[in-house]
Amino acid sequence: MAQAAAPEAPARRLKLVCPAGTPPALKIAVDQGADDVYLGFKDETNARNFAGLNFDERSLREGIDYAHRKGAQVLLALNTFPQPATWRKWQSAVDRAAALGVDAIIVADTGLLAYASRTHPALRLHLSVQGSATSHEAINFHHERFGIRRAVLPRVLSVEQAEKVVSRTPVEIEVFGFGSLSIMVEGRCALSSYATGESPNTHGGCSPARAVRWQETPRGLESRLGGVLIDRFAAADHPGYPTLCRGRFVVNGDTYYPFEEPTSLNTLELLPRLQAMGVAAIKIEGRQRSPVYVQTVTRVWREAIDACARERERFRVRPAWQEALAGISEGRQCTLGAYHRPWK
Amino acid sequence: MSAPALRRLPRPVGALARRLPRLPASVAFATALNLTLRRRFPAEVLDRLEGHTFAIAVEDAGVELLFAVRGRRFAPAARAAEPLLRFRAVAWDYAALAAREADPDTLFFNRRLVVEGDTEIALLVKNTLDTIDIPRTRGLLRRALRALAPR
Repeated sequence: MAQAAAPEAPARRLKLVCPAGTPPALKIAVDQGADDVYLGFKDETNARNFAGLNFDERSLREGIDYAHRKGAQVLLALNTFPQPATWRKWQSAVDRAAALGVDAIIVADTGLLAYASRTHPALRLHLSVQGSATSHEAINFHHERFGIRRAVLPRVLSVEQAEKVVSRTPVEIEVFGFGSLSIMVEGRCALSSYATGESPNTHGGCSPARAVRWQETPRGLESRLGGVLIDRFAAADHPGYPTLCRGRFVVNGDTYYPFEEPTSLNTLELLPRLQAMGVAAIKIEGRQRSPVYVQTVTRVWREAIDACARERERFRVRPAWQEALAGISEGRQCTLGAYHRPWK
Repeated sequence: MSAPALRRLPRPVGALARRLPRLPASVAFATALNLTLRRRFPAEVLDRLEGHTFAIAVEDAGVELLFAVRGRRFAPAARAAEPLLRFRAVAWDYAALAAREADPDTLFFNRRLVVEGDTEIALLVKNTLDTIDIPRTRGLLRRALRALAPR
């Protein structure tokens, strides 16, 4: 009788971390199989501080109840940087998060991490991508000093570099899997303050809506931020979010994107490698997006992660997944971002 | 990359819509907003919209619905000075948005949803609509869209 192949040990399943800007988005993410949902309060303590978005205490309490009933966890982003004059607002946000019973807070500022670990030792801490920790030394420092349990890697590392970090830290590593890309000096970008007087790290948004103007002109659709022309789109062009880093400017007589073209990160094809190297969680960008976006992206990534856990090396990205993701992406192209650097 | 296929109203329907008087359509629309959305809009959002006029241009019907917010209610508006916000799209895309079958940012990236005017109020309206759960109304709309979709 032929010997049956020994069953392979089940791979540790990657957690899927999905965005929720509103209660319906939270419910849809949970219903479609998100393991963690991340969200923010309705103020500048988080980096998606937009009118009408985010959670007050009541909707957060209801959201936590809903997620917990269905076995999902709720992570609260407190991922902007308090200033000396505004410290108490961020401190009180940590206290409210602990009192409401969120499963973890995602924090960037070291002062706030110190406060949270001292005042609420039972509250789980995740180091935000805005914390800009790109080496295992930096992550391990935050672990030893503040007891962080998970770190979100900045989107500047190649797969090889990410692999080294994962192998040299006891901290769970979360990586970005999908969503709009910006200039990626995470936690350090002040570009928008030149046009708006506000930076994402202190006010929670790099294109505050009050500074944005869209206007149809005889030369095309123009987007402006604080009066600065960001881009002009001909009828066949596809506009993106009006941030300076995705602007098209005239440089030495040439008109092009000097910082970055508007593209979306999509790492589906890297899933087997991310799983094998021991990444703990995959993050989906997009708290500013609609429940329809959250539904599509959560469904596709849930299916893909489950397929990857089953099939491992035999895993292949299904065309239907790519088609669904392409239909909701910003920009006309998807990229592997910094993960893929053939020149290295 | 693709958004869902663009579906325009059949030409005779658009031609008929163009001949209908404008005000009754705006009255019907404001009434529908009051019935479905008004009580679900937070008071502070209605206060931000108070006194302003808004336009929903249905491009394939050649119709522009005009309404204002007065006393925290939606009211039909006559052709006014430039509205604070104007949305432009085809009827099918509006219905798909209301049914949560289409993503507004995707339609915007694809130039199928055009928004003119105050961006902050536009974002406030979009995000407020995203917080509203009206599953029965959306379910009915979804069924209607499926029934009407060309095969």
